[in-house]
Amino acid sequence: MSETFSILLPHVVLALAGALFLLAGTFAIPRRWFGPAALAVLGLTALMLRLSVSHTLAAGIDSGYSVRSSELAVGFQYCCLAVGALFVLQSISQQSREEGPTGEFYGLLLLMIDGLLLVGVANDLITLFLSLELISIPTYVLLYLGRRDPKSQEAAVKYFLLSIFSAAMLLYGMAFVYGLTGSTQFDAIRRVLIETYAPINPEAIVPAPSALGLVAIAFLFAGLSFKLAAVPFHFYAPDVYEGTSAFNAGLLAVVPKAAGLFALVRLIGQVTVGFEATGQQLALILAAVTMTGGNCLALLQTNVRRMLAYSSVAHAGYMLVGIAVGFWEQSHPSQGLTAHGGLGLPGGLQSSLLYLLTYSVASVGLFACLVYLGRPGRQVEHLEDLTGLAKTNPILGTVMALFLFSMAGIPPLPGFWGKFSVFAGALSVRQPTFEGGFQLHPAFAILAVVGVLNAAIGGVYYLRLIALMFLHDPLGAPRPTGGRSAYFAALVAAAAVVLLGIFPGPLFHFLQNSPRENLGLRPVTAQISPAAGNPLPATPDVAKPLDATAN
Amino acid sequence: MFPSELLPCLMVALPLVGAGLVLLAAPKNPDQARWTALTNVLLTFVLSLLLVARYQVPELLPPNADEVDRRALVKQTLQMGRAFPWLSPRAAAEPVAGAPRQVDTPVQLAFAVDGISLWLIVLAALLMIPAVLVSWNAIDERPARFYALMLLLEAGMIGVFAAQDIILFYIFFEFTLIPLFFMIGIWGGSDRRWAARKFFIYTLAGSVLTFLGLLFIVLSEQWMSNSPSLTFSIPELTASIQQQIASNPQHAQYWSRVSPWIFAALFAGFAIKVPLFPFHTWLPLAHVEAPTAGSVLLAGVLLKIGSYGFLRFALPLVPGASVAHFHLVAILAVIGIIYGALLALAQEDIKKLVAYSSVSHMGFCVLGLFAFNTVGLTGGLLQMINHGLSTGALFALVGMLYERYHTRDIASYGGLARKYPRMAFCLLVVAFSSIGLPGLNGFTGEVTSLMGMFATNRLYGTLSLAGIILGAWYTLSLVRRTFFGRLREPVQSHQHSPVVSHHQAHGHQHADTPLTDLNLRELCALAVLIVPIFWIGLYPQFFTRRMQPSLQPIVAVLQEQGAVMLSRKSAPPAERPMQASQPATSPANLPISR
Repeated sequence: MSETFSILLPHVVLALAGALFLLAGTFAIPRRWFGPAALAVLGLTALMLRLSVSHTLAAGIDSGYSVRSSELAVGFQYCCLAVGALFVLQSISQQSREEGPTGEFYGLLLLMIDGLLLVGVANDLITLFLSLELISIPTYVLLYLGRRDPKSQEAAVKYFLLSIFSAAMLLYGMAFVYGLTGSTQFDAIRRVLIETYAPINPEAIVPAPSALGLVAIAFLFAGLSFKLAAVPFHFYAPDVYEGTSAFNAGLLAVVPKAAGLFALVRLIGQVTVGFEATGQQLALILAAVTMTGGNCLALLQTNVRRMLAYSSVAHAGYMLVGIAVGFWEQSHPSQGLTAHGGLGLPGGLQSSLLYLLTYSVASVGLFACLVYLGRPGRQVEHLEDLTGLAKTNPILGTVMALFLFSMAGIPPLPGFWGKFSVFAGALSVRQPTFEGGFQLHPAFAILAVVGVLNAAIGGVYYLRLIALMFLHDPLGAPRPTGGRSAYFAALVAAAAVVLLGIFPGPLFHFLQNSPRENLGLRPVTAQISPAAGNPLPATPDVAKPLDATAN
Repeated sequence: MFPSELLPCLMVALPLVGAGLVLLAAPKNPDQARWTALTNVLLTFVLSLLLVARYQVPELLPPNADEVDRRALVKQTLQMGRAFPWLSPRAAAEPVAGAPRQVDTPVQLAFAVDGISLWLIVLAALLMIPAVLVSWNAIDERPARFYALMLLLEAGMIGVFAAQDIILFYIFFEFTLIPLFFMIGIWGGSDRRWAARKFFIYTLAGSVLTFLGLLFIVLSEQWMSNSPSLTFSIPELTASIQQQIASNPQHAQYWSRVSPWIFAALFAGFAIKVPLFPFHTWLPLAHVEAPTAGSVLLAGVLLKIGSYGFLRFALPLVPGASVAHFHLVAILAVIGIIYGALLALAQEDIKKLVAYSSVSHMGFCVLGLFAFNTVGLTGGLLQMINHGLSTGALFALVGMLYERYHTRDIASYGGLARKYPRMAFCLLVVAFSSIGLPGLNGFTGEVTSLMGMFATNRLYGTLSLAGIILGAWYTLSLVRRTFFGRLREPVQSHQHSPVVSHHQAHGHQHADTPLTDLNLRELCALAVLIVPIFWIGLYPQFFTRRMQPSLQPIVAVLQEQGAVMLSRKSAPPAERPMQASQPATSPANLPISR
């Protein structure tokens, strides 16, 4: 019980603070206090998280609780807090304005971040659903707050209706899982499924996957694809991004996507045992369609936020490549990148998380730049509004170019490392041949080729924006009116992009060495491969002359 | 002074530091940026000379060498190597008994030099000197940024050639696009924006496929060797894959099945970069629109990354597929040679002419490389250097002429030799080098490439001779039309802006006050190119001696694996003994249909 309490302590703090902010908004408290206070709350939460880690990680894997912490979850939560702090930071300097953020605004933002953190530790279908709703409901209100023009109202309604719809699909899928396994708790579900579909005893008869489970997976995928904005569940994204403010668009581009992806990663380990083949096919098709659809449609856009909406759709596709590989690794734990306990590159699920992080940092920064460049009444709308930005504001132009190059996957920026690990995963998938050898899995090979060609297509529209900013003369006077704190947030994100790009090592190390059980995956020893028995020394990567290494 | 091992790392780091310093220079004082850049470039060049001085020439293999000798030679040729862990957070700790194994990504910051990359690194460092000098007055808009980008480009170029880690290679390969994109797009000609974007996207589209190919090589090596960790080190990968396919028939079969795909992926990126015939359309546009320094570096060094890629990855790693695609590549190269030359002949714009001549000349490089024998490979590599020198010098000369008259129209010039005797002399030397006059560098490169090709396939060798004749035609007619005959100068478009007077006030001869012969700065820029033109032409052994030991193992593998690959087609593999033990005696042994 104490473990559960320690895990929930940061969430309690955050939720209470959120409620307090909502309440305080009704009193005559100066607005300028709220922003720093929200930052302080996030700092406090990080501190609580740090203090409670030693307790929470002690909880065993099969604890049966409805929340469970792990190294990976804690890492995810830290990243979420950092991203949340960047969002709070962006909004601070807009407080002096009439329609600027109020107490409610920060209260809702904190609740939303709380929901995101909760996704990291949810160990029960109901907790997971609650945490996702804790993100969605504040989003509905945030989309309405302080925005009175018809376009933003339309955006809010559109998001509301489709989000409710997707939540219903998710619940429907969860109901099927319950019907199949008789439990909502992840560990229990997993135990039942493993007993049925992947028994330890090799002579046990494995039944064909039940139709109930197939339906469940399809609906879970559909519900979460909405959060990810994967094609064909992406229709809301461009309209909503265009209709709402740059700040809200940034929130929508990052928070639901992070929540959806992490939830998907957790679900794959827990509730899809025995249904990997179906999940793999679904993820494969979704990934290819999402990448291609998002990128091709982004090519046609003239509105900045619309273009970024489609680009965020496309990035969901790359993440789904990692998910598809994750499904395959789940059913073949001793092959691919997970062979020998890890070959030196993150596995499928880990690579999609890596991709998520690299995408989020660049995305937060990019939207912070747009917040800085606009004001609620008059935002950066058309791509042409950014013409010649590098001449009027060289630092901002360079920072934006960094984010865009990173999203395009140009090395040595973080986006490249994301694509690197995702595509390495796709190429590591193999299948046996008739002669007893092995070959590349053709579907994954095609997926990888489609993926890199998409990266080139993505390059086209990112480069178009960069070309507009750098190669053209400015059309009008510059009008950065979004306030200094948004600028600062963009600079912080740019520093993170540069650091992650040049020193991605710790991230790779963390993702590879957090135990597979953290993701709920079966440990590799479940199927003993012939070569996995002997413990192998760590990779010799100490600095040494090259010619000594060539044998 | 300092350990040689650090030299390649230092050569990558120094321009990066220089770029930072240039940006720090006062924006009001462009001279500060220029001199900082020049000092940095000269320092890097001195380091590259030190690289040559410290490179120990290995002994060539005896004719009856076996695989063990070859390995030993490869180890000898790779010198001054140093690798730092990169994607692992720190130097790996000793594994503790009982503790779970720590998995790290073995991507390293690994730099080293061998006979292939040595001269290309020197070429990159050398060409930076004229590139900085020709931009001295031509770039008067935000010069600090221009020089910073140029130094970034230098770091990228040297990094590509020095990288011994496959991911590091790719990072530099793509990184070179960014500075060049801005250099073309901001400081280029009238159609610069489209040129910059087309260049970037075209190259990106090819290189992402190359990336998949490189990744697949790494993953396949692990599958075959079943080692507990991936290997990204290029020499280790090459050695391991060659060993696997030579020793294990099952792996050889697997490799012969996947290598066409790998070859296709590598070809996608490298053929666009070279560029080979149907993929060359980005080149004239980018060259013509780029500022002079951009053209010099683009033609001089960046195109070589493509042929270097073939030599470093395609030939040694997928030898079977390289031999199998011999006809495809050779035909494309021959078409490129003749078609490029014909297009050059038809141009009225000097820069376009030089650009198309690049397409033609790079064909000789590829033809030499795909001759699959030591002579051809040496010729191809030498031709890369030669083309870098002569085309770089040609672009520099065109830039100097353009600074004076602001037109590149051949028809508007005539008889300039009378007015510009120094320029005429330089142009003649460079033109003769470009068309392959004996005694100058172009001759040695083309002749060795073609000798190699004749040994392999007479038809392609003969056909490409037409390229040499056409090359002499268009180059000499360019010289004749512009520098000889009656003096004719284009009508000057006077754009005497305040900028001019500003520069004159600082004691510069500004570009817009032309009509005098080459000044000291311009002469220096050309001299650093003309000296090696004579050097390679008169004493090529100095260069080839250092190349050949690195090329010999590649040729040996090509002959063995290529022979196996081709013989497979005629007979089922089981009945066929491995031909790996046959010593490669003569290049003419190659069983390629004539």
